Amino acid sequence: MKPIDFSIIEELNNFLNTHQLKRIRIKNADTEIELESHSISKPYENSTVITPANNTQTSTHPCITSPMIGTVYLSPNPDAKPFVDVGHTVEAGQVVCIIEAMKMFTKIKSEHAGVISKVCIKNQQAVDFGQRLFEIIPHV
Amino acid sequence: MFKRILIANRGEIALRIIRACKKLNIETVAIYSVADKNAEHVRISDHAICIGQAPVSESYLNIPAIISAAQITKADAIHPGYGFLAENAKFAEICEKSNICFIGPNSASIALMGNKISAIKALQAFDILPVPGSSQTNTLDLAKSEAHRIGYPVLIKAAFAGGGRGMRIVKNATDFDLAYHEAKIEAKHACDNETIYIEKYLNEPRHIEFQVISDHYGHVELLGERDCSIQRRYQKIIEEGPVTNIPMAVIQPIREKLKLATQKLGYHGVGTYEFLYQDNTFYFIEMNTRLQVEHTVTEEAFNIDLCKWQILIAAGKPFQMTTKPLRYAIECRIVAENTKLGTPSPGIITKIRLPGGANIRIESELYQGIQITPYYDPMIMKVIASGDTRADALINMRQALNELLIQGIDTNISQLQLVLNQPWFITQAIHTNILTAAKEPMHEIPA
Repeated sequence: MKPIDFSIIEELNNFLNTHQLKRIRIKNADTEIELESHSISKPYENSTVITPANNTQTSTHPCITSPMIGTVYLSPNPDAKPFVDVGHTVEAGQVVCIIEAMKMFTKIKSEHAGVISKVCIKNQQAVDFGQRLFEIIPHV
Repeated sequence: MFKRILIANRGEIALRIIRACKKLNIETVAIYSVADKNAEHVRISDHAICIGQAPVSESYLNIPAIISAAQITKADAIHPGYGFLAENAKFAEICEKSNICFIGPNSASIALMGNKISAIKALQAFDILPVPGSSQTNTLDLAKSEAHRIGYPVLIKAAFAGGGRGMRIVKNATDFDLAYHEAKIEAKHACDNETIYIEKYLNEPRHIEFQVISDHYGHVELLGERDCSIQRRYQKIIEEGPVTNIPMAVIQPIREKLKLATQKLGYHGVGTYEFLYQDNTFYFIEMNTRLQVEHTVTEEAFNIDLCKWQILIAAGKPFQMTTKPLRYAIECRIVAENTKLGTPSPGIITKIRLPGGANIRIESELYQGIQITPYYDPMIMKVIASGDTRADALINMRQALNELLIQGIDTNISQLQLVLNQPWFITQAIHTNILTAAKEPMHEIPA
């Protein structure tokens, strides 16, 4: 494995800030680098329940990210099937999971229509603001 | 008298209880979760013990950990506060069996009054009537025929859950089946018990509650009423008292019946009987067998320390009432949420400025830099304003909210300010659905 060229991190950071991106990820045969910015607007300033899919040039798939800190639930109740799973087709506005914070349950909806390609979290996992929940291949 | 009390709670109520203990020269043991290690109740308490991870099931609801903490620290009593284990009859019973005094009524009283259906039955024996309906309905068919009998719209309610969980308004028979199943599932997850019942839905009731205090020697006092009609999602956000605009001929018989019921049922400590009030009629809905969030309204109006008396009564002291001139008090609950979106707003408090001056009381754990975590209740502060009259108290409250500054998270402060200036609030033409039923958005009115 080649040593990592750290100057690229600084370069990526500049790119992130210039374009006001939340997160950036690049990958090649030897290296995978993911940078996340915390300098952008604080949670809830412009928050909506519908989450923006992370649609940057560099990420392989857009994803559904968490709009808040909390505990994620993948199904409507413990006895029920998950809202969505890998391979499921979702419509824009479809509920994909629930996040509990401060005893309140918020339904998280997909902004895009597409197919779920990856579930990035486990049921009842604690999630942060902006954390990736699902990757999605959008319908073209 | 107790030597050392463990406080099985967090947030503002834990601080409130520590202050009462200090008045009585009792040592305190705070418990805390990993997420609360920097909390004020931990800093202020004589002793503090970490009882588990952030989720409530692993910390503030973790009975074995809490009992062990009490035994290790040689606490001779546990104060449960409100919420968490405060109305858990099993927890009270375990305390009793472990020779630790549970500061509250005995486990039998909690079991009787904690189940709303059995509480309604118990009070019917004293001619205190519930909302029409209100009997247990075990099957969908039974529930549906009961709904048909009392007439739509009806309210489906969970027997054990609080805070509006397991509750559904049903407007007609077509919607009934789905609402019934949803309510059952929600109740099951809220409190592991799916018992539900049906009651007639009142469209514009006021929420009026009676504060009771009762010692072990048959001395029962009713300390006026509180109006808690300003609610959102079935949760109170403004409470006030004493209630002065209900005819004495209607309210006095209820007081006398409640006094008798409290005595005969052997209820000890502080408690609250909650009623809906519409068309000059009181309908009993439930009892809270604990200190309530809004106990401070009664404390300011009556100049009494309910928390201190709750501890004294648990220690076997007789209750003594010293009558002082009645004042008026209003409480606003400050919650960490975005009121426009209805979403919670955890985060770091970057700047805080508290109101002050005479007749203003603040109950809160907030300080600059504290992290409001997503694990617990969104209520972060109570502001209580008092005065000789309601108008005085209202002026003081408006000024307090104008002074109050909280930055870093979203709060409901501006929503509260709007409510305090609405004509319907000023004239007390209020009911429990007023925030949701208001067809037009509230507009700014210069104070």
